[in-house]
Formats: sequence, structure tokens, C-alpha cells
Amino acid sequence: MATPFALADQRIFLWLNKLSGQSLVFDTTIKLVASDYLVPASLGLCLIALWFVEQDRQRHQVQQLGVIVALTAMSISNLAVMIINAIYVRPRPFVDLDIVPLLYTPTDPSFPANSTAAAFGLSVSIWGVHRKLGAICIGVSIIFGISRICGGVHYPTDVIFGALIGATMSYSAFKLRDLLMPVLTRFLRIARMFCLA
Amino acid sequence: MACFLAKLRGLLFTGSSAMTGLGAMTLVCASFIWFFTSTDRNINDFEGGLDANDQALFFFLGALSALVFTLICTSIINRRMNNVDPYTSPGLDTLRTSSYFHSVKGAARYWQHRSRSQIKEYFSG
Repeated sequence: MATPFALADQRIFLWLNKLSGQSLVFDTTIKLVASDYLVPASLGLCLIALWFVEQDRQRHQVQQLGVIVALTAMSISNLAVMIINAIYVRPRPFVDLDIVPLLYTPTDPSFPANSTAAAFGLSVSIWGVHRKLGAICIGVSIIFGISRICGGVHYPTDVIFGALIGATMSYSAFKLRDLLMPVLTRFLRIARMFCLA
Repeated sequence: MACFLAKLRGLLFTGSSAMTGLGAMTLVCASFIWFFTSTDRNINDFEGGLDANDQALFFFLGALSALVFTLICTSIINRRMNNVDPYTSPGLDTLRTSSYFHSVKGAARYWQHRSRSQIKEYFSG
């Protein structure tokens, strides 16, 4: 017997998902935005920009450390999702409900949303060192998460918890940065010797 | 694009920053369009798509190869750009006025000079 919470989750999912199949333009946009390539690659390009673009030397170092934090946050978000998947397996919406997803049918568990966790791990880390760019990346990650629901591959709670995991791992990565500051500063010093930082 | 925004003239392919910026923007957009229109990308990883780990690895390798290509080509194109101060600490800043090759040479001279001064200081008590 489904709990009221699970029913509410399903209702919100169906409400968002019914937007698909109404318009070719909308469906094509969702397929593009929700794909595994567009948003993650764009966030990756933002990290490259953060590494190279800054005039002030001190801020530059902070941003470069932020890139390392973002990559760490993304990795440990993926690890956290793997651990949760090993404990709790939630079927995808297209398994339980009578819907046709816009995206391909993934075989891994629905909860939590892995791609959203990674996207938020990167975005929140970027926000930690560059407010404007970070805010844009977080906005894009929110749209990415919603598009995954419209595409029929995640429930709303999968995306919300994925986002929370990403944000939490980003915070942890910043704390780890503080602990490993001497090592990271040395790494940046070596990169500077090769004019790469 | 990053070099255009950071004004790293030593890493630009053309003499004009505006042309480089425009060219970079065009290349980024064109590559996205080519990627999504060349073949169906809405496929599972066991049907020919990429899984997340492969994607991260290929992105990293792609970025690394783009960086190496840029460093080598711009070192050749901008071989006359050589404004490195051997007494200034090396870093990306030197690429604003010098090519990568000259910047690395300058960095090597800087560290050689520094290690000599430190050894001298050490032995002079």
C-alpha cells in the first residue's frame, strides 16, 4: 500500500510528465536538456573557464581550488549514490506507471538521481567560489533535474534528494579542501612552474 | 574562449582577440550541434551510449588533448612573443605577454635563479 507521501510524489511526477507528448518542440527540448551530455559537458566547460579566467592572483587561486573541490564533490556524490543504490532500490517511474519516457530507459535504480547529484555537486562548488557563475549553474542544474522528471526517468523526490546529496558532498569537499590546503597549494605551485595555474 | 576572456594573448591563435573570441564561440556551438545531430544520443550505455564514468574520462582526455594542441600550436604561431621577466614568479599571468614555450623557459630560468640564491644564502650562513 503506497504511503500518502509516495502518492503525492507520483501525482507531481504525472503532472509534470503529462507536459510531454503534447508538442514536438517541447519534447525535443526536454530530450536535449535532460540528456546525459549537454548539462554535464557545459558544467565541465564552466570549470575550465574558472581555472583560466581571473585577473586577480589571489582570487585566481581560490577559483582553481574551487575546480578541484568541484571535481571531488562530483566524485563523492557518485560514490554516495552508489552506496544508497546498494541499500535501497527504487524502480524507475516507467516501470511502475503506465507512461512512455522521452529518454532511453535506464536500468539503474531511480533513487537518488545520479546525474542531478553530480550536477549539483559541481554547481554548488562553483557557487562557493564564484557567486554569479555558480548561480547560473545551479539554475541550469534545477532545469536539468526538472527535465529528467518531464522525461519520465525520475520521480521528484529522486531529483530533490539527488540535489541535496550533491550540495552536501560539495560542502564536505570544501571542508576537505581546508584540511588538505598545504597539499593543494603545493600542487598549484607545481602547476604554476609549468605556467598552467 | 577561456584564453580570450582571460586575455592570455600568448595562447591565442590569431592576433585579434575579437576574432579569437568569435571563432571560439563558433567552435563551441558547432561542436554541440554536430554532436547532437550526427547520431541519436538518446541511447542506453549498453546499446552504444556512454556510461557516466566513460563520459567523465573522455571529457577529461578531450580537454587535455585540446590543451596540449593549443599549447603547441600557439607556441609556434606566437613564437615572436617573448616578454618574460625572469625575476617575476611564473604562472598563467606570463601568458598575457609571451607564448607558452617562452613562458616555460622563463619559469625554468626563474627557478634556477631562485635555487642558486637560496643555496648561496644557505652556505653564507
